[in-house]
Amino acid sequence: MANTEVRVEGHLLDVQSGMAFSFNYQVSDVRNPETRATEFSKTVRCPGTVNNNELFGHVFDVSVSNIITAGQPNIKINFNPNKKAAVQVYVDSAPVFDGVIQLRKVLILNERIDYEVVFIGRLSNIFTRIADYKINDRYITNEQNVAAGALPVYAPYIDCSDLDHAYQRQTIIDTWTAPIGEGIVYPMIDYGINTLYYSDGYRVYHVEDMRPAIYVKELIDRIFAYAQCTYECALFDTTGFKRLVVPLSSMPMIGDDERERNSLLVEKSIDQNLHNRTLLTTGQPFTFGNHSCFLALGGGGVVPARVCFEVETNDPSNQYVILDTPGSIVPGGNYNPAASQYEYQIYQMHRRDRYSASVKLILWYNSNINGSLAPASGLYQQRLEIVHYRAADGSLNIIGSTDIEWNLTDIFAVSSVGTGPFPIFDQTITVESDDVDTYAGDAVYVHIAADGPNGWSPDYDTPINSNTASYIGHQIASGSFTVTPSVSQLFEGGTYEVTQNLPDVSMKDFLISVLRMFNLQMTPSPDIPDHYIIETWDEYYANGTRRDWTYKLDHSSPIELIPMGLLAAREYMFKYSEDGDYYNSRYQNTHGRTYGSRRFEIDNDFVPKRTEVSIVFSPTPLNNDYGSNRIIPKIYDADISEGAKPTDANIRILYYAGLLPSLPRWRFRSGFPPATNLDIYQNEYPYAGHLNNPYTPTFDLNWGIPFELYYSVSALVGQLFYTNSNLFNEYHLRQYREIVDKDSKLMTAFFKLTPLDIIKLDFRDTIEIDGVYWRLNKVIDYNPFSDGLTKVELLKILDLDPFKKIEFSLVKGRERRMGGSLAEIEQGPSSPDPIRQRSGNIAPEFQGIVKGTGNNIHGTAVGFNVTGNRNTIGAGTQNVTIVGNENTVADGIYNVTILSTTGYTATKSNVTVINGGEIVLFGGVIEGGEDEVRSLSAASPIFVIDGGEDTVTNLYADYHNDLN
Amino acid sequence: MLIIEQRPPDYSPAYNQQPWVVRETNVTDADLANWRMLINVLRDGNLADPISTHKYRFRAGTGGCVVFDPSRIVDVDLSYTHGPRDYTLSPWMLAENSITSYRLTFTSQYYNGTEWVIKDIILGTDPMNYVFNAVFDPVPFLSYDQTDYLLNASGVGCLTTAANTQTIGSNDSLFLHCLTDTADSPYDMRVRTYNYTGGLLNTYTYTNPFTDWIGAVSIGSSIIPSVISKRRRTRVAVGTRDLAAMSSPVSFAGAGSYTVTFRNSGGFTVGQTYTFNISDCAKYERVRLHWLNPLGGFDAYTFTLKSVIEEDIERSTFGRQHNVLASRPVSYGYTTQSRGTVEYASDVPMRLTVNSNHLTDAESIWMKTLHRSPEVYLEQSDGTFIAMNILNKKYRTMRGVQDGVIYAQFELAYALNGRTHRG
Repeated sequence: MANTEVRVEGHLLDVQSGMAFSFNYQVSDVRNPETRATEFSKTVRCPGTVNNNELFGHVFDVSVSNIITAGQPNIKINFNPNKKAAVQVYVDSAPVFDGVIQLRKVLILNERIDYEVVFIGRLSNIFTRIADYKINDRYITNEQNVAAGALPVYAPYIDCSDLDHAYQRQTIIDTWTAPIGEGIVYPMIDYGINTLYYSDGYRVYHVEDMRPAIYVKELIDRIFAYAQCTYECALFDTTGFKRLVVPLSSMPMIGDDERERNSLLVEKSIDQNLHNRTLLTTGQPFTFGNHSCFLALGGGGVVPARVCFEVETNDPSNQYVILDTPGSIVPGGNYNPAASQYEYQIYQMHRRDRYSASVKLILWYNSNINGSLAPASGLYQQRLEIVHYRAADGSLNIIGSTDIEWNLTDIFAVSSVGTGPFPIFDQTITVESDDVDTYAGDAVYVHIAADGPNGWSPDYDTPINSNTASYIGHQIASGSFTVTPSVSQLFEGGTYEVTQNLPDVSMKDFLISVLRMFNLQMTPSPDIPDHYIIETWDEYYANGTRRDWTYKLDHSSPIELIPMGLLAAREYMFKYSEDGDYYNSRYQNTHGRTYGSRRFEIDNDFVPKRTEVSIVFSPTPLNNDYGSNRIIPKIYDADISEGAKPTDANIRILYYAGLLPSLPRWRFRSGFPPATNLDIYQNEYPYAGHLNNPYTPTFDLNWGIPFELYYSVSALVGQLFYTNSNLFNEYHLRQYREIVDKDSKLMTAFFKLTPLDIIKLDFRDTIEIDGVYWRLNKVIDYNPFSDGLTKVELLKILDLDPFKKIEFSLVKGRERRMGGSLAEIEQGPSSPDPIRQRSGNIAPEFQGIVKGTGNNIHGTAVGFNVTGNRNTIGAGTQNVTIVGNENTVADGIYNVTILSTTGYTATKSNVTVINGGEIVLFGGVIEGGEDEVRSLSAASPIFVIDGGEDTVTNLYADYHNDLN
Repeated sequence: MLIIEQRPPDYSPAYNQQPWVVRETNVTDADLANWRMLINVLRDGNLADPISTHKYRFRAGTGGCVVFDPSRIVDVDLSYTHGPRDYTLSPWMLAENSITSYRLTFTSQYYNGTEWVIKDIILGTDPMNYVFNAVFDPVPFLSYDQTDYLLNASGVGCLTTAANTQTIGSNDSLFLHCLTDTADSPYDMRVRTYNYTGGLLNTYTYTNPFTDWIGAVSIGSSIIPSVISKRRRTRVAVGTRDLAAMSSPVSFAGAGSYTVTFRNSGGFTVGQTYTFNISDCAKYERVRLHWLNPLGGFDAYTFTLKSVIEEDIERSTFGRQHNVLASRPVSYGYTTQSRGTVEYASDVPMRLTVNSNHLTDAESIWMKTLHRSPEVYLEQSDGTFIAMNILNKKYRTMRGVQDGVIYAQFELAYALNGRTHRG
């Protein structure tokens, strides 16, 4: 009988002798760690001895409510059934199990107590900790206070605030050459926001067309850190893996921190008179703040009174300008419009906010003599307005207005009011704006405008008391002004908060998908708690050792051999998740499966089942970026007939290859000054896609080779190659071939396993039995508490030819099959045929747009946009736009625009023809007469126009080709 | 204000209930929901060493009472004390595993709408409550009186249910267990030997070396006795083997019997006189068993009729590949010594059946305590003990008047199984 000990947090646990206590180990736990039951025993019943009673904190006593000390071992008086307690099982001093114990139930019969406990292996820890939390989830940090009525305070599970950055051009450029695998990068992906080509034919990308991608390794590291786990993985440290990115493809939203920074609350603390008569209560001769409103006594115009908010309750970015000496009152000289006081000044490049203000207005009986009133009468009006000063043109724009009415007849409808001064009437007025876009240099403030050319000034200047020259007092007593950033898109110049824009998928799905893509085996470290060893299938088995179990096999028990015993299906489909963007939809509709999926079919007559292996990511087809050699992902709306539009997209995973040459170059545009630096030419583009190189790939992130590609060769692109080195072939093929081969066998037999065998148990190991090699698949019901045989499942190791990696040029015009054995058959990509019949036109795919019939565009033309019939574009042309019929563009020319013209033949580059007339693109002298001159861009200025009935039109703003 | 309405005796059997009833005078039935009681169980009264903390609600209709029974909490520190005498200078030994002490704190709290506020705190006992490893049947427990077991007056007994007069071999062990609540008692043990005609041969006196109330724990301004609790529970070796081995040994030469009595520091006899008649008369090999009795001490009896030792064996085998690929010279095959079936493990449970000689009615009742005992030991000839488990599932108490000659038979299992080689 073995000497078995169970120790909980180092203390001996009393267990029944010879109890049914079985451990199961299986390699699928390594392959599917999220479903891993680990070394999970049947529920074990432990006796309620005084020792166990104490270990479990006398939890059997329903009145027990021990005070738990955090950080102390979960045992005895500190025992908390909610928490894990470390447990080790030793057989003859050899540790055969190391995990945690959970108390599930206490059973009491008469005075007998029993405990039902479960032993759980450690691997479940990370997946237990990350639970179903999404990568972008937040939790409430003050849960207990919320229960007591406090407002919840949120914090992200995955905090990427250290990756926050300025959303501006230079920052984006800097990421392209930043260290790989760390933080974020901005790859070139067409999200359908904008398809602008400059007149020189170069595509223009704005800052706001670009969205970042976070490195996969960065996310993995942060998930492990959140779960307080560590890992070691050679694959994750390879340059190739470090280049994997997850595009943050949703529209970047202004983040919580940015919203907080851009918010404002200022309040009024000092009474502000609105005319220049001394208010008897304060003795102020004029007003604090603005004394202009009613300054022009007896006429002379009315200047609105700016409302002065003196207390900056919340101005985190210090954008509200008050006096240099806040709170001081200097009669007659406080408010200085020239100093731009009491206004909210915008320094951000672009932002969108809502503004609101509230003020309490008071009319005073401003006399210290009792007497009869002789006030002004009638209905007088004012307006509380929010004013937006636009620096771009110096204009003032009212963005919010509320009318104020004073019925003086009613207010002063008394003949005698007693001795003043005192407030005789008040009202609170609020005003708010809609969303308002502001730009650097703009300002926003609040003022009160009076009605009519003279406002109230004449009336204020009329004595209201028949006995003395007393006047109405008019005062702003209190109020506030707020700026609330709109929940909206982040604009250039703002701060991109990465945490706010992380993908909306669970950490578990993300992690499992990465493990699944690369067929990674995840095992807990035997030495370090919460540390995991992650290996590819090849690495996993390469790191094992050979063990001879020939003499451990029990020949007196049944030995079961099952041909292809692990074969679960006739067809395995490895696939990305579907998505609804244009190219994914098109592929799914055409081929009935997701882009980049791989079907692995077995030649078996008996197993009908079909099994899918899918991941949370969606595929990302590559496309030509028209008019260039660039091959980029395009993720936009499926409703292509109305042109590309941004759309929500599922999470993607791409390979960021760094900067690749761009032919021609492209323009990277910043929308903000200095205007002279509006565009920066880029000779390279930041490529990311499912191929590690779109031209000569050696690895494909797809499961298999797509049936169809959405990019093709052209004069600019040149020769294209493709590869069969993809996820399935590189990481899964060998494993599945071992399962499906006709010689595959699964053996189940009993073995005499010692505690030492269990200690050494490693599914990496090769088990030799009578000269045949096997892989461990399962160890079933090993019971350390009794001597006995253990059932073991083994899979025969086959000698299979290694996977042959092939790079091949794309064949046009027909499908291609790659040779090989049954399991290797893959369908090559279909023809990216440069000349295809498209709605009665002949034109190369992907290189431009053709609308109409009978147009004939040479297969090497790029960047064309044709609307009309029977036009012809020659070989090697670039950037040709035609609106008209039966025009011809000669071979090899570029930058040709033919508008509203029929039958024209263009033979030279850089020409524009409108209504049959050729227009010089460069400035010159228009000779006179009824000329029409159109400037296509800032690069083609008009120098002189001689007069007459000339028309000048700037076409530049309309020259936005929608090539989709 | 908290009032202790009921509490267990200072010295209680550990495996019977020890209810405490405590009343908070401020509690009314209308306000029960806003009151609760916190109870801390302190090991040896040490505030720094709580065994557990409990929360209770006051019971309706009781005027604010809670009931708390710590019996299953405090038994965590209790077990048994048995084994060979390991101290030849004195037959006195501490039975430190057989007694423990605890103290309770009661804290009443009320909820003021925002938090729980302490209303009153009291200590349950001053200085301590003691529990010893005894258990009573429910009916006798109703009349439990601790003074019957505290060895500080004449007439009380040691912790044994055996008869005061017993037969013992000339080389047998026996231990008497004592419980006391005073420092000066038992002060010493007196052994008197007699010849076969009843004439006094010698008198031996062995002073209890554990006379001081040793050890204390300082908690705030209070001095709380701690190790002292162990002093209250002693055991004394009184067997012929034990007494003869003292550094001041008892001489049993010519002795037919001997008596054991205890005295306090004033020289007055406390407890009862135990008489042992020395006899080795037996037809078969004598088998002497010691067992934990209901009062927490250990009794012993020698079975003198036929005893049988048996063992079973449960073999585990597997069929191993019997061919061997030898490397020098290279050959593959088997020999006559090749073993296909391998015995890789076996389990060897051993049993002992013992039979008593004639029993008296009282001894038949007494044997019931052996049948119930979870701790049984077989005394070896060298004075060591082997752990045994009683296997009998039924025991019938017999009376001579209706059953005639009374015997008892017990089947026991050795607590450690036998072992064999591993294949």
